[in-house]
Amino acid sequence: MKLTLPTKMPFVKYPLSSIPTEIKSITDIDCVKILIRDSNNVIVNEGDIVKIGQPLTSKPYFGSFASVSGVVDKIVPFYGEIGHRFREVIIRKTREGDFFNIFPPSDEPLSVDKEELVKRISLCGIENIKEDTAFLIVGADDDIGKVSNRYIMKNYSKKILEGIGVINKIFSKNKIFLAVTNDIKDAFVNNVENEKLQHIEIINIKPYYPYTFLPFIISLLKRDNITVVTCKKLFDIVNTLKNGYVLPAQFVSVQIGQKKETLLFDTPPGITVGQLLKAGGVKIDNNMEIIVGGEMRGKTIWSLDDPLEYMDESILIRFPKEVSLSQNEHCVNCGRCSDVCPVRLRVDIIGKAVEYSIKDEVVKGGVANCIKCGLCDSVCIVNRPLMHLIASGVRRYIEEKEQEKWFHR
Amino acid sequence: MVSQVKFINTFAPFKRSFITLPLINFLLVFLLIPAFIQSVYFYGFYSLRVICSSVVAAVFWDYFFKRVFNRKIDVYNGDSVVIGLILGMLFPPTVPFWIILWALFTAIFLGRALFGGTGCGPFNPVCIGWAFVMISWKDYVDPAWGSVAFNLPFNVKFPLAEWKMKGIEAISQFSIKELFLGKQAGCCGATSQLLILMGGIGGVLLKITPVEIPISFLGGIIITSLSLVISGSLPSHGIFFHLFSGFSFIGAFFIATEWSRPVSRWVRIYYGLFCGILTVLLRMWSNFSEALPFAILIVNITISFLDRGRAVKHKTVEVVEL
Repeated sequence: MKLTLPTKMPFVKYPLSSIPTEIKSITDIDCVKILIRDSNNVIVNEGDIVKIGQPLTSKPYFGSFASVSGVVDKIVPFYGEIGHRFREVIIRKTREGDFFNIFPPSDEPLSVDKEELVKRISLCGIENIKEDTAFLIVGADDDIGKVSNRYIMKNYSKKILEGIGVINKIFSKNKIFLAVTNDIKDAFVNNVENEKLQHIEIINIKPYYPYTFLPFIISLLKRDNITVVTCKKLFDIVNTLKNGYVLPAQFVSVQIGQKKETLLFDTPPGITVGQLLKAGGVKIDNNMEIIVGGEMRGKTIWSLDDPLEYMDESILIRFPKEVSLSQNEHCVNCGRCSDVCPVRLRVDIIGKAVEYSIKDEVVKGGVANCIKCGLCDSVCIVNRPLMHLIASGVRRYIEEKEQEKWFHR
Repeated sequence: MVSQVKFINTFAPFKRSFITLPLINFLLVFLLIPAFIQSVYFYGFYSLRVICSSVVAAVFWDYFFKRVFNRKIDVYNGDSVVIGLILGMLFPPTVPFWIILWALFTAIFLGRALFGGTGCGPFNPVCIGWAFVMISWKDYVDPAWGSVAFNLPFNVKFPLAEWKMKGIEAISQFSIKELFLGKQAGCCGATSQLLILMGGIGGVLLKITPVEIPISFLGGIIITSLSLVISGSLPSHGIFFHLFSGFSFIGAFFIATEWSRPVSRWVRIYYGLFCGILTVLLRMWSNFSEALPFAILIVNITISFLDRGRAVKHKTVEVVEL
């Protein structure tokens, strides 16, 4: 996968070595707190091993991802200023769960001595490989769909088999998992039977987008200590092998105000928003609005200590002039809000009923089904505060138990 | 680490669409300008006087009622300008000034100010203003007699009036091509069908007017004129005669799509259909030669009972998984 960076916009690149002075290396971060809004669907328990990019809730789009890999210390309730109830997942960063790229990309055949292999593994920080540790070999590549030529498949599978053979000789007592896609699986099955590699267990995987690739595999093998060995490079973003380990970096664009110029940062996840903005030279004052995630479904932050999560790709900063607070206008009956609602509610009726305090219309109109997308508010011709009206309708006329479901969506 | 900076927290969404009410009204005026120019080309200073005075009177009455009722003065939205422009186009060029004042008085009082503002009342302001003046002072406002005295290169007669008074044989003196290009007498610009059609299609493409109303309106006209043709009271080209004469196109695209229109889709189709059906029936069997605003008023009253909900029942929705 190749990332095509926009060439017209000015971008600033911060490689791993020149992170702001408060953090010298990623190992200086001990704990990371992740704020989860969907407190009912947390998958992870205390004591679990968590890898980078792993979803922590069952609905990953609205929930959170783990921004570092380590061990889950605590899951703590968090009370915000407005009174909503959230949860914080505190992850203590450890080397368990990292992944290492031991064999750098090259076209040469894999012939590695035991000493050199042990050296490369020790660079990653693992000194003793116990009998309990298992190896996961990922036999897939960026060009997953293109492996259809038989010649390419043969060569590809040969390389992986050589790597497996080396590891099998050295670590003969450890278990080896092999994760392959359907195209390559047949070639391996035949070869495995012939060469009698009994320690290998083959896992069939689907060609996912690379960011979701690893968490899918790792979630299957959550209970073992795993060191992931890749025979070919997985990510194009991974540029350096400094300190023997590599983290997937992400590109975050910061847009300030209404300008079209944005700044692009090349950061590893785990950095807090405050550190990122400081490194970019953005002055932070009172009465700014910092939105992480985008214009329609982003979330505003309450403090600068919120970490950047895995899927956060943009930060938007707005000033009080641009925060267009809506006015108390009356409805014009144009019908655009109802046309646009994805749940097909009659938003104009609900808004008027809340203004005039009519309970029946609000509840029958289906306020509890609203998904808070905000399309009605953005489309209104007269700038009515529809989201606030819906929220006050939910608070007033719906029971407390069901209120939580709406507020935590 | 506690940060001492205070941030603003608002709900999503953080961006609004750029379409606002002043922009919509400005675009409506812009789309009606070609028809206005054609009326000035035909009638000269007379139509210019009528339309400008109606716009000024509309803005004046709007400001007056908002001062009297102590409401927020947002004349800059452009609502009253659109009402004045459309209503001025429905008058003949020889209408006196005091009738314009009376018409706009009722239009803005009964259509807007009494019920609370734009979109809040059951009546279409253009229709009720025209209806009040037509019933009270018919001789001044009737499009049949307004422009007979002008010296113009085409047949200076109102086709619907000719049909009503002289029967089917009078239809043959009009050629449909000339009717479509707007060469019929009557009013300052509402009869220039081609230019209004272009403006209306532009409005549909810009998503200002909802698509269902004009289509069902013209469909209703076509259906009833077809049935009249079959029963024998109209010649074979009677469909085009009804489509291209009078206020058909301006009614479909600009009058029926005012803010007193319904919201849900099937009610809009019903609205347009019945308005179209009633215009042809009233043209046939009423005392008035052109009765389109009356038809719209009658159907407007029935809408508030129907415009309640959507055709799909609500189900309990779980969170969307992507």
